[in-house]
Amino acid sequence: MKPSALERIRSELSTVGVSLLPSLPTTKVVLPAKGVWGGAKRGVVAGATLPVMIGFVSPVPGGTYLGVLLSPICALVGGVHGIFTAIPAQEVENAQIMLEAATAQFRQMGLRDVLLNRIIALGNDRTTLKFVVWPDGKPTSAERGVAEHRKPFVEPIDTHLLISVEKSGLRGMDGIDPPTDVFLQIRVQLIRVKDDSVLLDERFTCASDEERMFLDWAADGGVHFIDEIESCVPELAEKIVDDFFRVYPMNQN
Amino acid sequence: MQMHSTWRTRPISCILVGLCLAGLTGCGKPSVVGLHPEYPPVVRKSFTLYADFVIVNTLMPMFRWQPLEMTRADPPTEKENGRIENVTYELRIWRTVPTESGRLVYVRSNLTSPVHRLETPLKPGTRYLWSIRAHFEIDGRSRLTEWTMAGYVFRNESVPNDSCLRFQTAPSP
Repeated sequence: MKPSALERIRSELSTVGVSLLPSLPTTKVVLPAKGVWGGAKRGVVAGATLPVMIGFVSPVPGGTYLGVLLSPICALVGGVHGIFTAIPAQEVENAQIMLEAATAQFRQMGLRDVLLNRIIALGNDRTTLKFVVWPDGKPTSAERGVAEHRKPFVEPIDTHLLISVEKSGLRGMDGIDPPTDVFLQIRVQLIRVKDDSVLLDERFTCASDEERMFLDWAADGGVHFIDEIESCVPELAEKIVDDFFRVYPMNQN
Repeated sequence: MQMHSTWRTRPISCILVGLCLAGLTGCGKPSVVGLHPEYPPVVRKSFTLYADFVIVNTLMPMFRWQPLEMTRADPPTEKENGRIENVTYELRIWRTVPTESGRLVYVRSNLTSPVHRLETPLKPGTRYLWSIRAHFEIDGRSRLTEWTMAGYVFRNESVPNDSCLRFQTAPSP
């Protein structure tokens, strides 16, 4: 968005009501290969794909064709590698159960309230606008860019900052046992109350400070997984307040 | 928690990643968003989406970046220049942990010039991410620039992320 258009939107704002949709995020997890058979399958696919990709991006003439020729041999090597390096299926399943428990735990930690309070505090501290909790406790539902308010118009609040936590989990490249990082994706909409029009609509993501292997994330009751999700809360709050209310956009050069 | 693998859908995405890599490893400088860094510089690294970790030879390097006036979105007019006041800069440095992103180790804000020598030494032989942004007033409203990022820019991710600027300190002798 051009700076002038964004500033025009911002100039209309005065009091911002902040709310979080109560819906739970969907969980996306990149799992390691389960057992010998899973390792073999992934090894074959990775082995077959890799030389083609390398050939494609390499500056060597005919690199892609050379990659295709080498593909069956690499697939065989990859399959054997997968058989010997895959994690036993039972270990993966146990770790999955551990991570499910960790996810349930962080949902009970009240991080949603922490995020809400943090946004309100940052907004009041760093902008000249007034940030308050959206009053009814029954937030609006907004789909396809049009908000549908369920509560009557609330007089002093002119703008609704509606946040939904959409996805969380482990992300990374696929592999037999790939390193992954914890991520949290939220959708943030700024809605003008008087006509329900969506002024701004963005998705923001926070990723963990480090990558770990799947079993490491699940270790110790998923403590690292929970820590990383927790550390995302202040980072996302700052990102929302900065990008929606403070950043003056500049072109990428 | 409903866990599932996305492996079956990935061959296509692998090819797309390959295409991106091919594009990024072509000629030219890495793209930069935000204030342009001068030192440590942004150096392109082949076959990766991100810039390289540039080695700095001191544990208290002098960071430099282009001032806000040189990084405007549109060609600045006299009128626009006149509207921007009270420019200060904020610098953050994160130490990288085993792979990419990192922990905040150094913050300075209210810097009045686009240069800053670290006041506390960094660890030798360590990789760091860094970024800067300008705070300013335009028509009396407090505004700031985006965090500086380079390479494949994750504009919608909170900092630190893999697009932050990169450097590493020399190993101890």
